[in-house]
Amino acid sequence: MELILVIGDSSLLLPRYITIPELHEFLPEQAVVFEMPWYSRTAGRYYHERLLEFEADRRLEAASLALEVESSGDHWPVLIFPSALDSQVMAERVAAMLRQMKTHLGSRRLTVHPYRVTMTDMAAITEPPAHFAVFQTLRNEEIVISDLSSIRLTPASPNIPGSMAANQWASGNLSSFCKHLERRGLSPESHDRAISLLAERHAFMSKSGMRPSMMNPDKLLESLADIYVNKFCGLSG
Amino acid sequence: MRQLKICFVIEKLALRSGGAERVLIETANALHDAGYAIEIVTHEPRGKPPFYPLRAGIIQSNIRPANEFRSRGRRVLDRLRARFHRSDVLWPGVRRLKWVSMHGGFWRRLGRHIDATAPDIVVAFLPPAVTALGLARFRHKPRLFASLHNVPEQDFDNPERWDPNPVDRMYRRRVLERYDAIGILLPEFRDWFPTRLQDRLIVMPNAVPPVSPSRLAQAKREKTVISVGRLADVKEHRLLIEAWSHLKADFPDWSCRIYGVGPLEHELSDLIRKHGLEDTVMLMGDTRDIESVYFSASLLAHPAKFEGFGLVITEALAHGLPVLGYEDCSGFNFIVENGRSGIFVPSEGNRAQNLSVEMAKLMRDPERRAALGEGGFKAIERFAPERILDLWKVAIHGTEPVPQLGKA
Amino acid sequence: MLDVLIPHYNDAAALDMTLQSIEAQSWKGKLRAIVMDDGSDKEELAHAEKVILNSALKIEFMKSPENRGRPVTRNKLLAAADARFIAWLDAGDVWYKHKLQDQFNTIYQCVYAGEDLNRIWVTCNYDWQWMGRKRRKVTQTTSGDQLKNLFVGDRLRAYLWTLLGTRESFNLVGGFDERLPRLQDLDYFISFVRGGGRLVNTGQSEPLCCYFKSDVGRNAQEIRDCYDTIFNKHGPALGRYGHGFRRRSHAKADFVAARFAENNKRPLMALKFWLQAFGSDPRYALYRTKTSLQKG
Repeated sequence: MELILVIGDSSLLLPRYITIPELHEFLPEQAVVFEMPWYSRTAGRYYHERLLEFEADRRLEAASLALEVESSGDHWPVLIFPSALDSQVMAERVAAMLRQMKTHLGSRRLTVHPYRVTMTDMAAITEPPAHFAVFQTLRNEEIVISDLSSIRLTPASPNIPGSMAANQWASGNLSSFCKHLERRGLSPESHDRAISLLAERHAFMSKSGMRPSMMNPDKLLESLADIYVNKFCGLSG
Repeated sequence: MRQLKICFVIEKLALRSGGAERVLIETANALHDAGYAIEIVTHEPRGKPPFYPLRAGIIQSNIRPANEFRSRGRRVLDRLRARFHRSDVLWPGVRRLKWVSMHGGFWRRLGRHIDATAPDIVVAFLPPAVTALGLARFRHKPRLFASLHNVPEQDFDNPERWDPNPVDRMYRRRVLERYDAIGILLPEFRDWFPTRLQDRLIVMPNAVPPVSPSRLAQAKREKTVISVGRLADVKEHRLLIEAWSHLKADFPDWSCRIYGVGPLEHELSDLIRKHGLEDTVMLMGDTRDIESVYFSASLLAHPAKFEGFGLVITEALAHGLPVLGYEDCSGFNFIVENGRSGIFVPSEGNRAQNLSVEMAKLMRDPERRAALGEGGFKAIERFAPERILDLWKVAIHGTEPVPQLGKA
Repeated sequence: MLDVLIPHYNDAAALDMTLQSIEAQSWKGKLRAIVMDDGSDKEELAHAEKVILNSALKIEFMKSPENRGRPVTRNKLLAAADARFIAWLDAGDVWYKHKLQDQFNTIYQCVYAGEDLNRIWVTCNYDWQWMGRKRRKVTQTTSGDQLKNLFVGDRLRAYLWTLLGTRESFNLVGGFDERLPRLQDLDYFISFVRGGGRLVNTGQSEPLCCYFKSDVGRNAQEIRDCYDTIFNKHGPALGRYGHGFRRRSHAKADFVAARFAENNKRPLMALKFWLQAFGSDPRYALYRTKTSLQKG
């Protein structure tokens, strides 16, 4: 069976930043994001790091059956691990999980993609001693694109990667935005909300022809903090 | 797909932990695993599940209507009938009425049920079901198989066993003619049956599930002799107690444990006290964990008069335990080979004395015990479940010639 | 991974519709259809072969030289299947797009919940389409006593084409009773539940498939006889619910038979069944008569 692993940046891959149709935009045509229907929809059915919390639980059993059932020659299930590259421990657990799954994994050519998204062949992972080494190669071969604005957008649905750029920009600037808010005597109710505000702003500005990523973030954030305070508290700094 | 439908019939199964019930359920499970469609038909007042676990997919049908749905008048009548059934009234003429009142429902309903379900084979377990199936009227033509689980004299001649009504005893024998094949436990039981039935007999010993050799290797054996069986006359535990009184002085560090419950409990404990053996001979009652008992003992003494098969003996052998028993005990002498998997105690002369002599020899000789244990473990391979399953397939399909199991 | 078992007899156009509904499934795992023709006429058979050739599905086509009836055909299909999962569909009925996906999702949920997959069948709600009438959604209720509900036939109905399960689960008990030209599904379901099987519904309230129903050309007496065979065969289980329940079940069977008789323009036969129902459960017969009069 062929399996695609998407391993990358948690600020990009967590369900709150990216939805399945968005993922499908940059995955190969045959790829189908694997959902775990036994989780509620709000719990992020395609956030597969949940599979790693396996203790006295049948989630892995259910997942390996589902993977086997859902895959056919023409469709490759995709598993997403947002923070597998962030820590060695996480990477090891992903490898351990793949070995524990009864599913037989076939092989596939290694391909790489921008957005720190890596698709790989996990064949060697099923061969126990070398499994981690493969993961290491995987880390080395990933390509990190620093300038997001240089990414070519697919003309068919330009909004989707656009929203990703917005999300990434928002999460990258979240902490300084919060600092600006604190300076105004406020702490945001939730980071999610602050991020969505930032992302919305980013998307809005991009739509109006501005390039927020190229602007001086500090100034921009300050003005945004002002808007936020005005809008939600009726106070102006 | 499950193509062949087998219907097992046994009068009572609910919560019963007897040997035949266990064989029925193990056989049904094994045949279900082998791809047959299985139904178990009972005729009993209790709607409780069987004691031994049944595989999913096996259908149970209790064809006796539940009491709670009977009309009030009917229930009053039933109570009167039950009193009549319990009474000792067996006058000529009345005994037939009593017999019909007791058993008529079973074979009438069984006949209807067989026509309704149309099984390919019907297997009756134990004499009450054998009689009912033998008398049941049905148009459907399944193969009929009777499975007997005791010494024939006990099942057919002993007035104490089953229904003491002579009418029942007469039918119990007569219905055997109707069966296509009859399963008996030991080859020596053949002789009891009339010649015209002889070629329908199939020797079908009980299956002995194997014990893993690794668990066997881990067994830590203490200096104990055990005996397992109902505390009843036929098991002759008193002989073991008497034998122990001869051994007590020579083997102060050994003990004897008797597992089982039964009517002779008081009598046996009196006997133990009489011989002053309270410290070394113990009546242990029932145990749920007989397995660890087998693993921790050094010897099984089995002084029974006779055995229908001797499940205890096969279980002990499977657990690598050497076995002692009388040479004239049926079952024992079929399963055990003298000097290889156990020791035959001479039956002539003073039986208790003979037993103590043979026990002493073995208790002194740990190497011989180990050798016998190993021999016994190998000897019961011929009762491996898959081999017995093959015999069942022969019984079910009626393929000739019937392969017979030889002596050890 | 999945074998879809389809019996076919003399209705190639319906087979075409059925196969198309399989093709349109959103579930994209490995699927094979096994179609068994039960001795159709030459012309229809040729037509069916064409339909199969034109289908994009992977199809195994089996043929019986003579018409042996549905239970035999279903047994043959079951024996021919070798995939891990099995679903059933009759030529002429259709699945909606998400049927398989929703049911597989339920299967994964069952694994997660620690259920033994070989003892469950996943059913679903479905549409019931009478010829010339509007579609009506029918809900499969799997809570409560399933055996009782199967005997009653209102809350839980024995329709094979609603099911998805493992091959093992469909072999939990014996196959289809070849004595039953009709209602062999009901017998099969009852045996499954009596053998320790359980039906599970998907979490979806929407119907996932559609049954095109017609009573025309079906023999009412044959159906009533099949009910009798089933009630006798499962008599010990039916009896556990008491005499009243048994009488009610018989009366219900009479009403089903009466409906078939009526729809086939046999009013006298329908009356006979009505009288029979009145004989076994007068109160129920009167209740049914009252409600049908109220409906006109």
